[in-house]
Amino acid sequence: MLTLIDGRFVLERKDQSTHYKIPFSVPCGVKKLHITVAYDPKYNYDEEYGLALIKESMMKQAGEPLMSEGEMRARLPLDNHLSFSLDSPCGAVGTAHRGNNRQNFTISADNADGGFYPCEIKSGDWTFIISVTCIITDNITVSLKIEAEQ
Amino acid sequence: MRYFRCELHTHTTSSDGKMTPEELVDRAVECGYDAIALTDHNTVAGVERAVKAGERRGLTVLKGIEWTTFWGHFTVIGGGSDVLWRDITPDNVDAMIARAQSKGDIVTIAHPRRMGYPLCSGCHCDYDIEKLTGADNYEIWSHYYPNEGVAARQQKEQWYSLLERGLKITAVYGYDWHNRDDLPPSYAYTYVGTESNRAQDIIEGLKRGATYVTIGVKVDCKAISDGKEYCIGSTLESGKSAVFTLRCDRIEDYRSDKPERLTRVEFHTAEGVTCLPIEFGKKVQTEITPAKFCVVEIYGIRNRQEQLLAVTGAFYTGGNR
Repeated sequence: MLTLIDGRFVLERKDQSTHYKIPFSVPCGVKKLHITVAYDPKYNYDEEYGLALIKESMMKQAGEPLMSEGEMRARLPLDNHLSFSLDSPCGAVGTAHRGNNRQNFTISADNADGGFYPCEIKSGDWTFIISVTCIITDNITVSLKIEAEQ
Repeated sequence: MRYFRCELHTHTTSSDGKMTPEELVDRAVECGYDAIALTDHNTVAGVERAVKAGERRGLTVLKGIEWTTFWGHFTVIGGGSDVLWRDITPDNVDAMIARAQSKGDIVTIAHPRRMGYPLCSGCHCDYDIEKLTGADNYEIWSHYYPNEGVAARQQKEQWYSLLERGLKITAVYGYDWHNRDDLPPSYAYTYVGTESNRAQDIIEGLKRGATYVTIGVKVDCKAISDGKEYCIGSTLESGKSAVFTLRCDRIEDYRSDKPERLTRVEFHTAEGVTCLPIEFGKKVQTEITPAKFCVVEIYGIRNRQEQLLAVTGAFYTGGNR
Protein backbone atom coordinates (compact mmCIF):
# COMPACT_ATOMS: atom_id res chain seq x y z
CA MET A 1 0.00 0.00 0.00
CA LEU A 2 1.38 3.38 -1.01
CA THR A 3 0.64 6.34 1.24
CA LEU A 4 -0.36 9.38 -0.80
CA ILE A 5 -1.32 11.66 2.07
CA ASP A 6 -0.88 11.31 5.81
CA GLY A 7 -1.46 14.69 7.36
CA ARG A 8 -3.24 16.90 9.84
CA PHE A 9 -5.09 20.04 8.84
CA VAL A 10 -6.43 22.70 11.18
CA LEU A 11 -9.65 24.54 10.40
CA GLU A 12 -10.67 27.72 12.18
CA ARG A 13 -13.94 29.56 12.69
CA LYS A 14 -13.14 31.81 9.75
CA ASP A 15 -13.30 28.71 7.54
CA GLN A 16 -17.06 28.32 8.14
CA SER A 17 -18.86 27.87 4.79
CA THR A 18 -15.69 27.34 2.78
CA HIS A 19 -14.15 24.42 0.90
CA TYR A 20 -10.65 23.48 2.06
CA LYS A 21 -8.82 21.76 -0.81
CA ILE A 22 -6.03 19.23 -0.36
CA PRO A 23 -4.37 18.30 -3.66
CA PHE A 24 -2.55 14.99 -4.11
CA SER A 25 -1.02 13.00 -6.96
CA VAL A 26 -1.95 9.47 -7.91
CA PRO A 27 0.75 7.45 -9.71
CA CYS A 28 0.12 5.00 -12.55
CA GLY A 29 -1.20 1.53 -11.82
CA VAL A 30 -3.41 2.29 -8.82
CA LYS A 31 -6.53 0.10 -8.56
CA LYS A 32 -8.03 1.33 -5.32
CA LEU A 33 -7.97 4.32 -2.97
CA HIS A 34 -8.46 3.93 0.78
CA ILE A 35 -9.37 7.12 2.61
CA THR A 36 -9.40 7.43 6.39
CA VAL A 37 -10.55 10.75 7.79
CA ALA A 38 -11.21 11.87 11.35
CA TYR A 39 -11.82 15.21 12.98
CA ASP A 40 -11.86 16.51 16.53
CA PRO A 41 -13.46 17.88 18.52
CA LYS A 42 -16.92 16.79 17.42
CA TYR A 43 -18.81 18.60 20.18
CA ASN A 44 -18.74 21.90 22.02
CA TYR A 45 -19.90 21.07 25.55
CA ASP A 46 -20.22 24.71 26.65
CA GLU A 47 -24.00 24.78 27.16
CA GLU A 48 -24.29 28.49 27.80
CA TYR A 49 -22.34 29.29 24.65
CA GLY A 50 -24.46 26.81 22.68
CA LEU A 51 -27.71 28.23 23.98
CA ALA A 52 -26.65 31.80 23.27
CA LEU A 53 -25.56 30.90 19.73
CA ILE A 54 -28.84 29.12 18.98
CA LYS A 55 -30.85 32.08 20.28
CA GLU A 56 -28.82 34.62 18.34
CA SER A 57 -28.99 32.59 15.10
CA MET A 58 -32.69 31.86 15.53
CA MET A 59 -33.60 35.52 15.88
CA LYS A 60 -31.38 36.44 12.94
CA GLN A 61 -32.94 33.76 10.73
CA ALA A 62 -36.58 33.74 11.80
CA GLY A 63 -37.01 37.05 13.59
CA GLU A 64 -38.98 35.26 16.29
CA PRO A 65 -38.50 32.20 18.53
CA LEU A 66 -38.63 28.97 16.56
CA MET A 67 -38.35 26.79 19.64
CA SER A 68 -38.66 26.90 23.37
CA GLU A 69 -35.71 27.03 25.76
CA GLY A 70 -36.32 23.34 26.56
CA GLU A 71 -36.25 22.43 22.86
CA MET A 72 -33.04 24.41 22.46
CA ARG A 73 -31.40 22.64 25.40
CA ALA A 74 -32.44 19.29 23.92
CA ARG A 75 -30.32 20.12 20.87
CA LEU A 76 -27.14 20.53 22.94
CA PRO A 77 -24.27 19.90 22.76
CA LEU A 78 -23.71 21.64 19.43
CA ASP A 79 -21.52 19.76 17.03
CA ASN A 80 -19.08 20.43 14.23
CA HIS A 81 -20.02 19.06 10.83
CA LEU A 82 -17.70 18.52 7.87
CA SER A 83 -18.46 17.07 4.44
CA PHE A 84 -15.83 15.37 2.29
CA SER A 85 -15.59 15.31 -1.48
CA LEU A 86 -13.16 13.94 -3.97
CA ASP A 87 -12.24 15.21 -7.45
CA SER A 88 -10.33 13.02 -9.91
CA PRO A 89 -8.60 14.24 -13.08
CA CYS A 90 -11.94 13.42 -14.80
CA GLY A 91 -14.19 15.35 -12.42
CA ALA A 92 -16.23 14.91 -9.23
CA VAL A 93 -16.20 11.47 -7.56
CA GLY A 94 -18.93 12.23 -5.06
CA THR A 95 -19.45 13.61 -1.58
CA ALA A 96 -19.75 12.07 1.86
CA HIS A 97 -22.25 14.07 3.91
CA ARG A 98 -22.97 12.58 7.31
CA GLY A 99 -22.41 13.42 10.94
CA ASN A 100 -19.72 10.94 11.98
CA ASN A 101 -16.31 12.38 12.74
CA ARG A 102 -14.60 9.06 11.90
CA GLN A 103 -15.13 7.86 8.34
CA ASN A 104 -13.44 5.40 5.95
CA PHE A 105 -13.98 5.13 2.23
CA THR A 106 -12.75 2.82 -0.50
CA ILE A 107 -12.99 3.78 -4.15
CA SER A 108 -12.22 1.61 -7.17
CA ALA A 109 -13.57 1.05 -10.66
CA ASP A 110 -15.97 -1.60 -9.36
CA ASN A 111 -17.05 -0.24 -6.02
CA ALA A 112 -17.23 2.81 -3.83
CA ASP A 113 -18.95 3.63 -0.59
CA GLY A 114 -20.08 6.48 1.63
CA GLY A 115 -21.46 8.71 -1.14
CA PHE A 116 -18.62 8.26 -3.64
CA TYR A 117 -18.92 6.80 -7.12
CA PRO A 118 -17.00 3.85 -8.53
CA CYS A 119 -14.34 5.17 -10.88
CA GLU A 120 -11.10 4.14 -12.47
CA ILE A 121 -8.24 5.45 -10.35
CA LYS A 122 -6.50 7.44 -13.04
CA SER A 123 -3.02 8.77 -12.52
CA GLY A 124 -2.70 12.51 -12.16
CA ASP A 125 -3.89 15.33 -9.96
CA TRP A 126 -6.65 14.59 -7.48
CA THR A 127 -8.18 16.80 -4.77
CA PHE A 128 -9.71 15.92 -1.43
CA ILE A 129 -12.11 18.64 -0.36
CA ILE A 130 -13.24 19.37 3.18
CA SER A 131 -16.44 21.43 3.20
CA VAL A 132 -16.86 23.27 6.46
CA THR A 133 -20.59 22.94 6.99
CA CYS A 134 -20.54 23.91 10.64
CA ILE A 135 -17.74 24.91 13.00
CA ILE A 136 -18.72 25.79 16.56
CA THR A 137 -15.34 25.32 18.26
CA ASP A 138 -12.26 27.51 17.90
CA ASN A 139 -10.50 24.88 15.80
CA ILE A 140 -11.12 21.52 14.18
CA THR A 141 -8.15 19.25 13.58
CA VAL A 142 -8.65 16.91 10.65
CA SER A 143 -6.50 13.79 10.23
CA LEU A 144 -6.45 12.48 6.69
CA LYS A 145 -4.76 9.41 5.31
CA ILE A 146 -5.11 8.42 1.65
CA GLU A 147 -3.53 5.16 0.56
CA ALA A 148 -3.23 3.67 -2.90
CA GLU A 149 -3.57 -0.05 -3.57
CA GLN A 150 -1.77 -1.15 -6.73
CA MET B 1 -55.65 12.01 -14.51
CA ARG B 2 -55.43 10.83 -10.91
CA TYR B 3 -53.39 11.79 -7.87
CA PHE B 4 -50.41 9.65 -6.87
CA ARG B 5 -48.88 9.48 -3.42
CA CYS B 6 -45.28 10.66 -3.68
CA GLU B 7 -42.40 11.41 -1.39
CA LEU B 8 -39.98 13.77 -3.06
CA HIS B 9 -37.35 14.21 -0.33
CA THR B 10 -35.58 11.09 1.00
CA HIS B 11 -32.12 10.01 2.17
CA THR B 12 -30.19 6.77 2.46
CA THR B 13 -26.88 5.52 3.80
CA SER B 14 -25.27 7.10 0.74
CA SER B 15 -25.53 10.27 2.81
CA ASP B 16 -26.86 10.60 6.35
CA GLY B 17 -29.94 8.37 6.07
CA LYS B 18 -30.27 5.24 8.18
CA MET B 19 -31.76 2.99 5.47
CA THR B 20 -29.91 1.53 2.49
CA PRO B 21 -31.46 2.37 -0.89
CA GLU B 22 -33.10 -1.07 -0.91
CA GLU B 23 -34.47 -0.63 2.62
CA LEU B 24 -35.87 2.78 1.71
CA VAL B 25 -37.66 1.29 -1.28
CA ASP B 26 -39.05 -1.60 0.79
CA ARG B 27 -40.29 0.86 3.41
CA ALA B 28 -41.85 3.14 0.80
CA VAL B 29 -43.72 0.15 -0.66
CA GLU B 30 -44.95 -0.81 2.83
CA CYS B 31 -46.12 2.78 3.33
CA GLY B 32 -48.16 2.79 0.13
CA TYR B 33 -46.24 5.30 -1.95
CA ASP B 34 -46.70 5.30 -5.72
CA ALA B 35 -43.37 7.07 -6.29
CA ILE B 36 -40.43 8.43 -4.34
CA ALA B 37 -37.46 10.56 -5.27
CA LEU B 38 -34.09 9.72 -3.77
CA THR B 39 -32.42 13.01 -2.88
CA ASP B 40 -29.29 12.22 -0.90
CA HIS B 41 -27.14 15.12 0.22
CA ASN B 42 -24.79 16.11 -2.61
CA THR B 43 -24.50 12.64 -4.08
CA VAL B 44 -26.36 10.33 -6.46
CA ALA B 45 -24.34 7.30 -5.34
CA GLY B 46 -27.43 5.43 -4.14
CA VAL B 47 -29.74 6.29 -7.02
CA GLU B 48 -29.13 3.34 -9.34
CA ARG B 49 -29.54 0.86 -6.49
CA ALA B 50 -32.80 2.52 -5.48
CA VAL B 51 -34.11 2.58 -9.06
CA LYS B 52 -33.31 -1.12 -9.49
CA ALA B 53 -34.89 -1.98 -6.14
CA GLY B 54 -37.93 0.03 -7.20
CA GLU B 55 -38.18 -1.93 -10.44
CA ARG B 56 -38.13 -5.17 -8.46
CA ARG B 57 -40.80 -3.93 -6.02
CA GLY B 58 -43.01 -2.03 -8.48
CA LEU B 59 -42.21 1.39 -7.01
CA THR B 60 -41.22 4.34 -9.17
CA VAL B 61 -37.98 5.88 -7.96
CA LEU B 62 -37.16 9.29 -9.39
CA LYS B 63 -33.49 10.15 -9.68
CA GLY B 64 -32.54 13.08 -7.52
CA ILE B 65 -30.10 14.85 -5.27
CA GLU B 66 -30.34 17.44 -2.53
CA TRP B 67 -27.99 20.32 -3.18
CA THR B 68 -26.89 20.82 0.39
CA THR B 69 -25.15 24.16 0.15
CA PHE B 70 -23.99 26.36 2.99
CA TRP B 71 -26.76 28.88 2.28
CA GLY B 72 -29.75 26.67 1.52
CA HIS B 73 -30.93 23.26 0.35
CA PHE B 74 -32.70 22.30 -2.88
CA THR B 75 -33.99 18.95 -4.00
CA VAL B 76 -33.33 18.46 -7.70
CA ILE B 77 -35.30 15.68 -9.34
CA GLY B 78 -34.98 14.13 -12.76
CA GLY B 79 -31.37 13.01 -12.94
CA GLY B 80 -30.41 15.22 -15.88
CA SER B 81 -28.55 17.97 -14.09
CA ASP B 82 -24.76 18.26 -14.23
CA VAL B 83 -24.54 21.01 -11.61
CA LEU B 84 -21.91 20.38 -8.94
CA TRP B 85 -23.23 21.52 -5.57
CA ARG B 86 -19.93 23.10 -4.58
CA ASP B 87 -20.20 25.50 -7.51
CA ILE B 88 -23.44 27.03 -6.22
CA THR B 89 -23.06 30.41 -4.53
CA PRO B 90 -25.44 33.20 -3.50
CA ASP B 91 -24.40 35.04 -6.68
CA ASN B 92 -25.10 32.26 -9.18
CA VAL B 93 -27.86 30.19 -7.56
CA ASP B 94 -30.47 31.46 -10.03
CA ALA B 95 -28.32 30.42 -12.99
CA MET B 96 -27.67 27.00 -11.42
CA ILE B 97 -31.40 26.44 -10.94
CA ALA B 98 -32.01 27.39 -14.56
CA ARG B 99 -29.20 25.11 -15.70
CA ALA B 100 -30.71 22.13 -13.88
CA GLN B 101 -34.13 22.94 -15.33
CA SER B 102 -32.64 23.18 -18.82
CA LYS B 103 -31.70 19.50 -18.43
CA GLY B 104 -35.31 18.64 -17.58
CA ASP B 105 -34.91 18.60 -13.80
CA ILE B 106 -37.32 19.97 -11.22
CA VAL B 107 -35.90 22.21 -8.50
CA THR B 108 -37.56 22.52 -5.10
CA ILE B 109 -36.65 24.99 -2.37
CA ALA B 110 -36.33 22.67 0.63
CA HIS B 111 -37.45 23.53 4.19
CA PRO B 112 -36.62 27.22 3.63
CA ARG B 113 -37.58 28.51 7.06
CA ARG B 114 -36.22 25.67 9.19
CA MET B 115 -33.55 26.56 11.74
CA GLY B 116 -30.13 26.57 10.09
CA TYR B 117 -26.70 27.23 11.62
CA PRO B 118 -25.63 26.11 14.20
CA LEU B 119 -28.19 23.28 14.38
CA CYS B 120 -28.44 22.39 10.72
CA SER B 121 -26.27 24.60 8.53
CA GLY B 122 -27.94 25.44 5.26
CA CYS B 123 -31.33 24.13 6.41
CA HIS B 124 -32.49 27.72 6.63
CA CYS B 125 -32.56 29.34 3.22
CA ASP B 126 -30.25 32.35 3.38
CA TYR B 127 -30.34 32.99 -0.37
CA ASP B 128 -31.99 36.15 -1.60
CA ILE B 129 -35.52 35.03 -2.46
CA GLU B 130 -35.28 37.16 -5.62
CA LYS B 131 -32.68 34.67 -6.86
CA LEU B 132 -35.02 31.74 -6.27
CA THR B 133 -38.13 32.85 -8.08
CA GLY B 134 -37.37 30.47 -10.95
CA ALA B 135 -37.61 27.38 -8.73
CA ASP B 136 -40.40 24.94 -9.62
CA ASN B 137 -41.54 23.93 -6.15
CA TYR B 138 -41.56 25.19 -2.61
CA GLU B 139 -41.70 22.94 0.45
CA ILE B 140 -44.47 24.65 2.36
CA TRP B 141 -44.44 21.70 4.76
CA SER B 142 -41.46 19.69 5.91
CA HIS B 143 -40.43 16.70 8.01
CA TYR B 144 -42.25 15.89 11.27
CA TYR B 145 -45.20 17.94 12.57
CA PRO B 146 -45.32 19.70 9.21
CA ASN B 147 -48.36 21.89 9.90
CA GLU B 148 -47.13 23.12 13.28
CA GLY B 149 -44.77 25.82 14.49
CA VAL B 150 -43.26 29.05 13.31
CA ALA B 151 -41.27 27.61 10.40
CA ALA B 152 -44.42 26.07 8.86
CA ARG B 153 -46.29 29.35 9.23
CA GLN B 154 -43.44 31.37 7.73
CA GLN B 155 -43.07 28.94 4.83
CA LYS B 156 -46.75 29.18 3.96
CA GLU B 157 -46.58 32.97 4.23
CA GLN B 158 -43.55 33.16 1.97
CA TRP B 159 -45.17 30.84 -0.59
CA TYR B 160 -48.29 33.00 -0.62
CA SER B 161 -46.14 36.11 -1.06
CA LEU B 162 -44.60 34.52 -4.17
CA LEU B 163 -48.07 33.68 -5.54
CA GLU B 164 -49.23 37.23 -4.84
CA ARG B 165 -46.39 38.46 -7.03
CA GLY B 166 -47.85 36.42 -9.86
CA LEU B 167 -45.25 33.66 -9.76
CA LYS B 168 -46.10 30.06 -10.44
CA ILE B 169 -44.48 27.92 -7.79
CA THR B 170 -45.84 24.57 -6.71
CA ALA B 171 -46.55 23.58 -3.11
CA VAL B 172 -44.98 20.32 -1.99
CA TYR B 173 -44.21 18.53 1.25
CA GLY B 174 -40.78 17.09 2.02
CA TYR B 175 -40.67 14.24 4.53
CA ASP B 176 -36.88 14.62 4.56
CA TRP B 177 -36.99 10.91 5.25
CA HIS B 178 -33.87 9.72 7.08
CA ASN B 179 -35.16 7.00 9.42
CA ARG B 180 -37.35 3.92 9.13
CA ASP B 181 -40.03 5.51 11.31
CA ASP B 182 -42.01 2.41 12.28
CA LEU B 183 -44.20 4.62 14.45
CA PRO B 184 -43.93 7.92 12.62
CA PRO B 185 -44.63 11.22 14.28
CA SER B 186 -47.03 13.52 12.48
CA TYR B 187 -46.08 13.73 8.80
CA ALA B 188 -47.71 14.50 5.45
CA TYR B 189 -47.92 13.31 1.87
CA THR B 190 -47.50 15.11 -1.42
CA TYR B 191 -50.01 13.92 -3.99
CA VAL B 192 -49.17 14.62 -7.63
CA GLY B 193 -51.87 14.68 -10.30
CA THR B 194 -50.77 13.04 -13.51
CA GLU B 195 -51.47 10.23 -15.98
CA SER B 196 -49.49 7.43 -14.33
CA ASN B 197 -46.82 6.88 -11.71
CA ARG B 198 -44.11 6.50 -14.33
CA ALA B 199 -41.17 8.76 -13.52
CA GLN B 200 -41.69 11.05 -16.48
CA ASP B 201 -45.40 11.44 -15.74
CA ILE B 202 -44.73 12.36 -12.11
CA ILE B 203 -42.23 14.96 -13.30
CA GLU B 204 -44.77 16.29 -15.80
CA GLY B 205 -47.40 16.47 -13.05
CA LEU B 206 -45.00 18.45 -10.88
CA LYS B 207 -44.18 20.77 -13.76
CA ARG B 208 -47.90 21.37 -14.24
CA GLY B 209 -48.22 22.16 -10.53
CA ALA B 210 -50.91 19.54 -9.92
CA THR B 211 -50.19 18.85 -6.26
CA TYR B 212 -51.62 18.92 -2.81
CA VAL B 213 -50.03 18.29 0.57
CA THR B 214 -52.03 16.51 3.21
CA ILE B 215 -52.19 14.98 6.64
CA GLY B 216 -54.62 12.11 6.24
CA VAL B 217 -57.09 13.80 3.87
CA LYS B 218 -57.66 12.77 0.27
CA VAL B 219 -58.53 15.80 -1.82
CA ASP B 220 -60.51 15.97 -5.04
CA CYS B 221 -60.61 19.57 -6.22
CA LYS B 222 -61.39 21.09 -9.58
CA ALA B 223 -62.65 24.31 -11.09
CA ILE B 224 -65.10 24.76 -13.95
CA SER B 225 -65.09 27.98 -15.91
CA ASP B 226 -66.88 28.62 -19.21
CA GLY B 227 -67.75 24.93 -19.38
CA LYS B 228 -64.09 23.91 -19.19
CA GLU B 229 -62.66 21.83 -16.34
CA TYR B 230 -59.40 22.85 -14.67
CA CYS B 231 -57.26 20.85 -12.25
CA ILE B 232 -54.91 22.16 -9.59
CA GLY B 233 -51.98 23.95 -11.21
CA SER B 234 -54.03 25.03 -14.23
CA THR B 235 -54.27 28.60 -15.42
CA LEU B 236 -57.82 29.94 -15.59
CA GLU B 237 -58.83 32.79 -17.80
CA SER B 238 -58.19 36.04 -15.99
CA GLY B 239 -61.22 37.91 -14.69
CA LYS B 240 -63.67 35.05 -15.23
CA SER B 241 -65.49 33.30 -12.44
CA ALA B 242 -65.11 29.60 -11.81
CA VAL B 243 -67.10 27.08 -9.82
CA PHE B 244 -64.72 25.30 -7.46
CA THR B 245 -65.77 21.82 -6.38
CA LEU B 246 -64.12 20.03 -3.51
CA ARG B 247 -64.63 16.65 -1.92
CA CYS B 248 -62.42 15.24 0.84
CA ASP B 249 -62.14 11.67 2.06
CA ARG B 250 -60.06 9.93 4.67
CA ILE B 251 -56.72 8.42 3.80
CA GLU B 252 -57.28 5.17 5.64
CA ASP B 253 -53.66 4.02 5.69
CA TYR B 254 -52.24 7.30 7.02
CA ARG B 255 -49.93 5.95 9.73
CA SER B 256 -49.89 8.72 12.33
CA ASP B 257 -52.81 10.27 14.24
CA LYS B 258 -55.74 10.51 11.86
CA PRO B 259 -58.05 13.50 11.50
CA GLU B 260 -61.28 12.97 13.41
CA ARG B 261 -63.47 15.25 11.31
CA LEU B 262 -63.28 18.20 8.97
CA THR B 263 -64.47 21.65 9.94
CA ARG B 264 -63.97 24.20 7.18
CA VAL B 265 -62.42 24.91 3.84
CA GLU B 266 -60.84 28.20 2.87
CA PHE B 267 -60.46 29.34 -0.74
CA HIS B 268 -57.58 31.85 -0.72
CA THR B 269 -57.03 34.35 -3.52
CA ALA B 270 -54.86 37.47 -3.67
CA GLU B 271 -57.92 39.50 -2.71
CA GLY B 272 -59.44 37.52 0.11
CA VAL B 273 -60.70 34.29 1.59
CA THR B 274 -63.98 32.43 1.11
CA CYS B 275 -64.72 30.11 4.02
CA LEU B 276 -67.24 27.24 3.97
CA PRO B 277 -68.06 24.30 6.24
CA ILE B 278 -66.98 20.86 5.04
CA GLU B 279 -67.41 17.22 6.04
CA PHE B 280 -65.70 14.05 4.92
CA GLY B 281 -67.39 12.53 1.88
CA LYS B 282 -69.58 15.54 1.07
CA LYS B 283 -69.11 17.85 -1.86
CA VAL B 284 -68.55 21.59 -1.36
CA GLN B 285 -69.07 24.03 -4.18
CA THR B 286 -68.51 27.77 -4.51
CA GLU B 287 -68.17 30.30 -7.27
CA ILE B 288 -65.09 32.53 -7.15
CA THR B 289 -63.39 34.92 -9.50
CA PRO B 290 -59.82 34.26 -8.50
CA ALA B 291 -57.46 37.19 -8.27
CA LYS B 292 -54.05 35.91 -9.42
CA PHE B 293 -54.54 32.50 -7.80
CA CYS B 294 -56.78 30.29 -5.73
CA VAL B 295 -55.40 27.96 -3.07
CA VAL B 296 -57.61 25.64 -1.06
CA GLU B 297 -56.87 25.07 2.63
CA ILE B 298 -58.75 22.33 4.48
CA TYR B 299 -59.08 22.36 8.26
CA GLY B 300 -60.28 19.71 10.67
CA ILE B 301 -60.05 18.27 14.15
CA ARG B 302 -57.05 16.09 14.91
CA ASN B 303 -55.72 15.29 18.36
CA ARG B 304 -58.69 17.29 19.69
CA GLN B 305 -57.44 20.50 18.05
CA GLU B 306 -58.43 22.29 14.89
CA GLN B 307 -55.53 22.04 12.46
CA LEU B 308 -54.70 22.82 8.88
CA LEU B 309 -54.82 19.36 7.30
CA ALA B 310 -54.36 19.92 3.58
CA VAL B 311 -53.26 22.64 1.18
CA THR B 312 -53.65 22.45 -2.57
CA GLY B 313 -51.24 23.82 -5.10
CA ALA B 314 -52.55 26.98 -6.71
CA PHE B 315 -55.00 27.47 -9.55
CA TYR B 316 -53.56 30.46 -11.41
CA THR B 317 -54.99 33.26 -13.45
CA GLY B 318 -51.74 34.50 -14.94
CA GLY B 319 -48.11 34.79 -14.03
CA ASN B 320 -44.93 33.45 -15.40
CA ARG B 321 -42.49 30.66 -14.73
